[in-house]
Amino acid sequence: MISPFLRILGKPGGYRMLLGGLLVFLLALVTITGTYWTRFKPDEMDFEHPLVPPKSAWLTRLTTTADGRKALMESHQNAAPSTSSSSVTEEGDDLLGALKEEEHPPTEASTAKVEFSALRDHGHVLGTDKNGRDMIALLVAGARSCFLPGLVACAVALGIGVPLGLFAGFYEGRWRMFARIFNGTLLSMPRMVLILVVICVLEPNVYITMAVLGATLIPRVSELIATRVRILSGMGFILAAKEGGLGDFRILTRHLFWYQNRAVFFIQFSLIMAESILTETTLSYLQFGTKPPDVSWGNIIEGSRLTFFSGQYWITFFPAVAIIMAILGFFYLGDGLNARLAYREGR
Amino acid sequence: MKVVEEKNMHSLLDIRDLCISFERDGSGEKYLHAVNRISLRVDPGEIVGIIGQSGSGKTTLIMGILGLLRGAVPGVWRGEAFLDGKSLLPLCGEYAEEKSGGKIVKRNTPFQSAQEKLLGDLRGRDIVTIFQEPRAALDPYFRVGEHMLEALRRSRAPGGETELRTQGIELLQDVGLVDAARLWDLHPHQISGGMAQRVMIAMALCARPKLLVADEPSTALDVTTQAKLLELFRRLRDKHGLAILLISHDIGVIQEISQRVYVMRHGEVVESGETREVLENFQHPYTGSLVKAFAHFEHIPATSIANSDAVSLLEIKSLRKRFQQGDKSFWALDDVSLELREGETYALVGESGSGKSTLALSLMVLQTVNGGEVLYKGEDVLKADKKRMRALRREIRMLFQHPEAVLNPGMTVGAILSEGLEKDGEFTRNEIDQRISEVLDQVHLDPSHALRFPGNLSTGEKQRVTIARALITRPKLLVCDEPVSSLDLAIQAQIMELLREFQGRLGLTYLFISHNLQLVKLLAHRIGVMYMGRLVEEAPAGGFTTEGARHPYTRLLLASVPSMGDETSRSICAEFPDVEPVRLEGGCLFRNRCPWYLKSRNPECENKTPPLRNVLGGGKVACHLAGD
Repeated sequence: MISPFLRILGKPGGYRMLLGGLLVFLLALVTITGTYWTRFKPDEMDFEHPLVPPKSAWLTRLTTTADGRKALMESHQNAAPSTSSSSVTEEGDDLLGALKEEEHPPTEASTAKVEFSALRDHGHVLGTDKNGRDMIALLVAGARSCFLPGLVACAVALGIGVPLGLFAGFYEGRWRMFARIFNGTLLSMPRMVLILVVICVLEPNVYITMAVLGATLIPRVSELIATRVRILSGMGFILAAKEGGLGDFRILTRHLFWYQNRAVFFIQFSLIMAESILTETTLSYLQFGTKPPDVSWGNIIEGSRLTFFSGQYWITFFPAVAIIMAILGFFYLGDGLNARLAYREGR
Repeated sequence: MKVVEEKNMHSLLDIRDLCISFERDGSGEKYLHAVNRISLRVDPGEIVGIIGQSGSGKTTLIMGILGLLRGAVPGVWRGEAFLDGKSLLPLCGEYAEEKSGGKIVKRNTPFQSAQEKLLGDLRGRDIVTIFQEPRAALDPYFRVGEHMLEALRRSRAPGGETELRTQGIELLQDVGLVDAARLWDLHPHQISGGMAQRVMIAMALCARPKLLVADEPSTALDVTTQAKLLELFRRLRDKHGLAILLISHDIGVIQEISQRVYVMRHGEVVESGETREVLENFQHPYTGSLVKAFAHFEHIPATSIANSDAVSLLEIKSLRKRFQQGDKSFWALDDVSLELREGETYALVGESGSGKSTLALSLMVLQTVNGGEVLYKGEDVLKADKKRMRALRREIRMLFQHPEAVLNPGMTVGAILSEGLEKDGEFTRNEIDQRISEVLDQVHLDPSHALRFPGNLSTGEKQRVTIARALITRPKLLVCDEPVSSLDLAIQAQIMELLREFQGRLGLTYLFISHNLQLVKLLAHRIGVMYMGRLVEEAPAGGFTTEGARHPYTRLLLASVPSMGDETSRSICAEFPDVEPVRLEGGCLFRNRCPWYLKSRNPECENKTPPLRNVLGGGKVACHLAGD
């Protein structure tokens, strides 16, 4: 069970591949299964518990004894009126509530309130944001909203770039000319500017934006593949495949793509995923990407802009960690694959 | 130490009990003994041969004593090597002395520049080396003249540039480059391989060396060029008293030129002595396998000599192909016509660049042609549509020269083999699997090979897989483009045996392309000779001898084949002028090398393309001057 992992570790790029693979696997797992095990929905607002810090739910339960909890319960019953008043305030303007929170640093009573709510098992393990939305539910929803647009970018970049590269490398003449003009045109436009222009002209839909990002990556993918194919086309086994009566389509798909370029394909896939996650979160933070009420790691951070310095670090911290882990995961995976491939070809 | 020096008085190079071992995994426990207890001696003015297959340690030995292995892999050295009484190994800087059981154990030590310099001086002056691929050894950015000047300066020749130039040109002329003044300003890519090899030798001679080490000097050259090179070696020895250590895997070359021979195998010398003695009365079975690799072929008559009334299977009619090379263009195939009968082996021979492979690729429709017809059973292959072509590709298959290039390294043998059948979807998986194990059995491979990758197979096994790859579609015609020339001698024999077996059993027809004339004589029924894109002679195998050949080019080819000091061959070779093959325009293309034309200056040879005409004995020849 463990031995294949150990064997990978011994190879060049093995650590990066394994670490990256694990992170990506976790991310994919969370994206796919998230809705089944999260306790709250991302749009479910728990008005009773806005801005609950993660520590309260997590640690109090572990550290306090049953007697201690009982004592806390009693003290809560005395402080009941203050809870209701605070929830009324939360129903008002978000911004105002947040400002209010800032104006009045938490008193002893409010601390007790928060700790008590943990004991009542409100279930917000990583706390809540200012609207009382559960952080875990938000993170899971955010994972989905960066994973799926990433796949769109990959589909465009690889779906067009790989065939274009194969054709441009394999056939002389028109295909090569077409690829040169097409890639040249795309390369002449700065990526961010192009994305912003498309956002301005069309409605700001994150999938369209990511498709544009994918399009800007076509030249890179197709040139990479075309160069390799050009070299491989002159080699004996391609001649032999023609001699064996294989059609061009089979030679392209089997010999040139699957047996010779699939590693490039997977490396590019993970690198483009990483880049698109970065772009998506950037755009969402700038409010050009995913718009609330839809959730993205970028707009969670954007929403926590005003509460970060008043001590509600968790709303910024957890999405940031998620972003870093996701990007690192994909980059490590691509980098490790790259090292592995270079090692294999060097032999 | 004194005793040792006295012993060395008369030997130029004396290697004693030399071992070079490489650490296998860096642990210092497992060693690969690349050179194992080798003792070797070269006397002044002697040509000594080392023969062995690839991987036998020939090159490691030479690189080792020249100090060129340093730093490649950590190694352990043992033994002694003297050049003219001077010990070489301490100069190699390879060791820190370490006494163990009276022997000196030598290990790689960090760079020692003083010793390196001494060795460098020795390398360029007393021992010089020439390598297999002459054009790779010349710097493409330097002109021939600059190479020569550099070599002369390095050998501390006195004089200014003009004097050195005169000296250099003299040296070039000395090695047979008559046109040296013109060559002086050319770049290496503008001269032929044979010329480049001579330039290398001229550079080597600048320093008036005592020993010339030639590492497979003729392997990359044509047989005619090789004959000239060997003649040059002989002359250098006689004229300058140069000792030559010749490394080769070609027993013919060794036989032709060397006085003594060392037979190497797995890093050990298995047999040594006078060349004639060793090769005639060999003691070791390995020497036997080298000498007699093809011996058993001679006793079996070529399978049922194809009847002249057998049905014609493939007919090539005036095939033409023009190649563009920069602003020049030339006919790679110029009006070639030939006919293959069912069940026969037709061999095509000729120097490199004669259009043999172009013909193969053209008739396989792997490249376009500029005219002509290829009739397979009366049907023009060149005009077949896609669907028909697929069917035809099953019946006409091809074997390539380099098996490792033909097999996709990412596919298993099974996947490679099944590809030819899968593509039409006519066969079920079971049938394909059955076919695979059947053909693997036919080429004497284990069915388990189907699961292995080409990278894990030996060269011989790879070539068997390519044969299986062709056989799996049950072909009628097999076009073999130098199928064995990249293989070791013993494996060559096995593969040839296999091909012959299939001809008898499956009734295959072969178009066999090779530059190895001895091989061709053993297998072929008829032989066609190509020169500069034209078929100049066609002869039945029996008439393919220096006496029977009609065309002067065929005579030259046959006489150039190295043989043991055969005087008649050498005198035939001597008839031909020592010129480089040039592409001529119009008339007979061979006339600049043809002794008959040079004697008679026949105007027909200049103006009229000689037609291929029938001659007595069942052959054809394209020469105005040849008799019937």
